[in-house]
This record gives sequence, C-alpha cells and structure tokens, in this order.
Amino acid sequence: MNSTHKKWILDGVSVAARLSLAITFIYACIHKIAVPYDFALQVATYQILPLSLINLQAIILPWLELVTGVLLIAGWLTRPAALITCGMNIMFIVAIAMALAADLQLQCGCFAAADVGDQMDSDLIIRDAFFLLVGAFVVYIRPDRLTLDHWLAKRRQHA
Amino acid sequence: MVKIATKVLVLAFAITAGSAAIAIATNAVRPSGIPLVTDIPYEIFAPCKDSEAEAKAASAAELAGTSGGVVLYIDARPAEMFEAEHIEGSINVPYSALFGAKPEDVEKVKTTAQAKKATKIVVYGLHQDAATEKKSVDFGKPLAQQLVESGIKGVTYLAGGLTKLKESGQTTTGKGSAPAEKEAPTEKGGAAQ
Repeated sequence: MNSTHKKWILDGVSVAARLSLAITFIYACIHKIAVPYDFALQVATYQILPLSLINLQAIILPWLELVTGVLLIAGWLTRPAALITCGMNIMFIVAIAMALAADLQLQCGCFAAADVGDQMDSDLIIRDAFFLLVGAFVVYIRPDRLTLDHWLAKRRQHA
Repeated sequence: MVKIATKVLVLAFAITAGSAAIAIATNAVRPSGIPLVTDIPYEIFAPCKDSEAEAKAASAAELAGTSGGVVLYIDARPAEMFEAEHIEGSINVPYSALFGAKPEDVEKVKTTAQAKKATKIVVYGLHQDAATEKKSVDFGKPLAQQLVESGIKGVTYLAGGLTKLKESGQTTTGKGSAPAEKEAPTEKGGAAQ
C-alpha cells in the first residue's frame, strides 16, 4: 500500500469520524433546543450544578452542540470544534459517573426528553468515552480533503 | 505544534463564546425561552437509594408523628391486595397501567398529606408472594410520578416495594396473605429499579 492509498484511507476514516460526531451532536441538541425547560429539568435532576447555573447550562449547551455539529459537517474550524466535543464528552462522563455514584435512577437526557431518554447505567460512560476518542482523533489528525479547512489552506497556499 | 495547539484552544473558546451569545439571544426572543437564572428550585423526581434508606428508617413512631418528619405511605397495588396486607397507616391508591390513578384518589393523597402534615410521601407497589415467589407489577414508580406531576411535594417511591418494607421491619396489617396476589399480573425478572 503506497502513501497515496494510506492518505485516502486516513481521509475516509477522518470523514467518518467527523460526520458521526456531527450527526450525534446535532441529533442530541434538537429536543434540547426545542424544549429548553425539559432540558433544564433534566440538568437539575443530576443535582450537580447550583440552581443559578442550571438554566444557563440548559440554554447554552444545546446550541454549542448544534454549532460544533454544523462546523464539523462543514469541516470549518474542524479541530477546535472537535476539541469542544471532547470537552463536552468529558463533562457528560463526569456527570454520569457522579449520578451513578449517587445511585440516582434517572434518564440520562442525552438525546431527548426524560420519557424517551436512555436509562442511567455504565454503558453511557462507555458510549461517551467512545465519542471522546473519536473527537480526540479528529483533533489530532490533519483535516481531511473534504473539509473547508483543507480548501481554505490550499487557497492560502496558492495566493 | 504548541502554536497550533494554542490556536485550536483560542478558536475553541471563541466558538463557545459565539454559541453562548447565539443561545442567549435566541432564548431571549423566543416565546418558550426560560429565564437565564432561576431562583425557584426545580421539582426533581430522582429516586435513589437514599430514599430507600429513609423509608426504612421511617418507623411506626414516625407514622404516628412522634419523632422526626411524618411519613405517609401510599400503596399502589390493587384494593384486594391492599386489604390482604399493607403498611399500617398507609392509604390505597390503586394504579392502573392504562388509566393511572383516579383523580379522586390523588386528591385523597393531597388532603391526607396535608391533614397529617406529612413531610415525605413514600409510594410502594411491589410485593413478592413468599409461597409462589410471584411478584406483582411494581406500580410504585409511575404512581409516584403521577403524584409529583399533580403538584404533591416530597414524593418518592420505594424500590422493592412492600417486600422491602417488611424486610426492614415495618409492621403490616390486613386480612392475611392475599390469594388475589397469585392472580395479579406478574413480571419476570424482578423488582423495578
């Protein structure tokens, strides 16, 4: 296998990683943005944040998920966007671990309202750890050829 | 390398700040927006093992209101099972999988809680028949949820239900072991939560 093949394979993996992160985060934010009160209630249920920060978190987090998702799909500011997803995944892992440690029997609220969300268990940590690794991979490797970053860098080189 | 890392970090902060600005601005103009800061605590329904421990500690003395807060027990099982055996002082609110609890029963919980000045309302549903090892469906959790949604405060449910309460030494009363229990819907695999 020559270096061109390797490059294409790496690009393919990069695209898959980028898009899987983007789709997951965009899907996760839809309900949270649509019904902010539900998400605020979900955040409150974790009993981690002080009351004064619950609403702020519930308002900002879904939009951050949306913006990073869109940036990852477009491939613009790919690395910073992927870094943010890593930060969010670390935050989710810590929150889930704390809820599990406190034996709170609640819905994770990761994707939707309480009635359809995932039940809290250690599998959620594994899932978020997987997305953390995917995000770290996207941060680490050079943006693939299907990204706006790559196109802009090429344009700058030609200019 | 350090230069790239710094650039990535700075851009990540910029994206976060930009997203936060969009989020706050959108929240401010939309009708379903929520206040940035709330000082009214959320009505949280998050049953945990702590509630189980509190229920265990809720002895007959507490039921009588002689020590600590008053605990009101709510039995979510069908009436015939309640009549056969229930926690002393508990009230029966039969829960239907299709229709939930009757509004008048929910109202009864409200008035009883107010009258007894109950600080905690513990809902239990599950009970395992010692002879057949069959379990009734645990409606403790959905009933507790319905009570919370109807505005009743201090509601929790007991994982393990009546069986757990009996194990913790709570005294029961009733006509004796319930034949109806054997006829009740059963679920394989054990207690909810």
